[in-house]
Amino acid sequence: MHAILAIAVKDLRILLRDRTNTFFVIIFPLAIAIFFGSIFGGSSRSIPIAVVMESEGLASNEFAAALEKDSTLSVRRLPNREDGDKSVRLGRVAACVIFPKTFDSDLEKVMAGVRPTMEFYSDPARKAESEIVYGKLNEHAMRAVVRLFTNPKVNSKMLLQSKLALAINPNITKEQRERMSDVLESVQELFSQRNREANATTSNDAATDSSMTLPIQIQTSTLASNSVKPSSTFAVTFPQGLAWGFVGCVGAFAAGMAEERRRGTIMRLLLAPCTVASVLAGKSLACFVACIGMSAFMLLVATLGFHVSVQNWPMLVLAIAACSLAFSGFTMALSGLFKNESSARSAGNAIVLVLVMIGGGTIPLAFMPPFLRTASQGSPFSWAILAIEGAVWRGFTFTEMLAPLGILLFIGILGLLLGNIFIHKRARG
Amino acid sequence: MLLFDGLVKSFGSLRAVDGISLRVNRGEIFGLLGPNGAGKSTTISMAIGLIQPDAGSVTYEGFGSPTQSLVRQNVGVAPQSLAIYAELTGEENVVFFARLQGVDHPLTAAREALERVGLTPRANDRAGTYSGGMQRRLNLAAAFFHKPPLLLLDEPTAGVDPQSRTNILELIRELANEGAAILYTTHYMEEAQKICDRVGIMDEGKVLVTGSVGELLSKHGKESVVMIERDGVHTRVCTNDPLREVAAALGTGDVTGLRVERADLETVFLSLTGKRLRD
Repeated sequence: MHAILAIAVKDLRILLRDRTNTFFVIIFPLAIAIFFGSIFGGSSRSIPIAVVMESEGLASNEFAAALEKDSTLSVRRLPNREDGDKSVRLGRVAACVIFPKTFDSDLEKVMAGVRPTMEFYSDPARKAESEIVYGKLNEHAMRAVVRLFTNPKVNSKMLLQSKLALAINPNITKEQRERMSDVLESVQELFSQRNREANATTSNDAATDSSMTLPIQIQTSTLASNSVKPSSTFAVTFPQGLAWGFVGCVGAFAAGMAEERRRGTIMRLLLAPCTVASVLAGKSLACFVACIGMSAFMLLVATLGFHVSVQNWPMLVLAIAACSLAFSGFTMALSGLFKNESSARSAGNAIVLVLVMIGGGTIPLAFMPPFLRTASQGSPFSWAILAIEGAVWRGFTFTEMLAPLGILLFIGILGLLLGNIFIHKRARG
Repeated sequence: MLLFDGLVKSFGSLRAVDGISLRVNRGEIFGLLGPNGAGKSTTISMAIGLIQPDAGSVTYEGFGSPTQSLVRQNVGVAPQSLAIYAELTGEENVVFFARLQGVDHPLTAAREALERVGLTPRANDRAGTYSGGMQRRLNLAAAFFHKPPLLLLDEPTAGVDPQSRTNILELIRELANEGAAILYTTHYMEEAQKICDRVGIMDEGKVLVTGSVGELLSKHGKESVVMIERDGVHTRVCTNDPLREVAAALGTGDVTGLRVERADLETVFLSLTGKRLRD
């Protein structure tokens, strides 16, 4: 029993004296709890969507206003469908909803069998968010119809339009026309009664039966232009795979300087007739080459094995080079930060994991609270995915690519500078 | 060749090196001896420019200060820890360091160095598969492949078998004979006595004495050592009057063995630094 206790006490003492272990046992679980608590907790989250109003009618405006009021959605009104499409393509919004010119006029003829159509373009890489938006659109479409039938001005006009459409429809027989007219008369009577009641009581947006066929048709598509669509689902998943590959390279090289320190070879490196910056540059180059090699292998498998077609190869080369630089620099900063090899490995992996999480690698950004979404702008993971997708299927122009490339280059250079400072400090300490 | 002039280095309130002045000449093996914490490693770190002294200077005559590139090209270091890559072969290790050092023909230099430490037959095996003695020899090869005029060897024989030790010591003597100045630290007094032309004994950051082993023995080692054995237990007595100690021991009647030796470097070392444990 003494031996068991002695071993237990000794192991606990060792655990508490190792800062990295203490971090993983106490701080890291706390950080994870706060992270997921923020995601699944009560703070407000909304999915960014674009709305383009080509129709100027009351119903479409009410529909758009309802979308804007929905706390699940964050609506940006854009002037035309080209801007809407661009927003989806650049990853600024998860989807774009377009109310075509004929939306309101078609809606008025809904009783005559006409189905008004709204267009819905979604980002193929943000499937989960798009599905939520699609569900929301269905909900608001049903509410719009209810509003339509309960609005005295609109439903009277709608009945009149429907009667007119019925009167001039050449595809129906006289008998059918008479029966339909009887139906419309009954509906008019029903509406009149409903309108009288509505004047007496406050109208209520009644819950709708989801099993009903939706009178408003939502025409869905992933992006407006065929030329910028991903060639397959693998075109969407491979950029994410590449980003995880970069993370793997970070894991493999982050402990590099600490390993040199453990081996004792750091002394030989620092004593060689070259600068500390050269040592760092050599290590960064190894990481950079590993990133490039991994990317080349992944792309080979993607293009030959899974028939992923790349829209812009020169841009992809640029994107991969920028990603490789960013992750090499990031790795060097981590490498210089930790003295001990195990600390470098475990704390490095933890930092990468956090960056992957806030970068949207595990949970879509839309599900995160605003502060985490802001923090995600600092994660190289999200920018790497955007840059690679931009070249593979998003059809980024060079100008559109400048932002992710610039940020990745900045991360890389900053990482190298920080790594240089940390390693200098440790070398001379 | 290598000149320390009034070197001082403190870490917080601890004065690790306190005004050291030393000179290591070409073709000379200078042994720097001292108990743990005496300041040897700090002195070596300042000699190679890894630590900047608070006061004083280190000069490599003809080359400049330790931080200058020319010095780094002309200094070889074998650290106490095995500074080699276990995943690389012996040859790959030395070739890598030779490239880093900017040697013109790294492969030739590496093969020559490996030949001198007797590792040619295992040159293409991974260093991780080497025995402790072989790894020590590889560590040494990685220090002298570029034939530097100055070698800093920090306990180069720590933990090796007698055969490897002999090989290493012979090689160090050869390198000195070829003109290299060698600064050598060790805990093995008999090794220092055997190989060093001059030694310096350090304690608490100061060099207490310097000189050839013979000079130190005649100046500080006048005592003899009487080794007394009682039922297998050895007692070592340092004294200026060995006959009296022998007579006293024999008088007890329980002595099973007796030996009188001349004082050695260890005696000098202990008489100068004392027997107090250093941690």
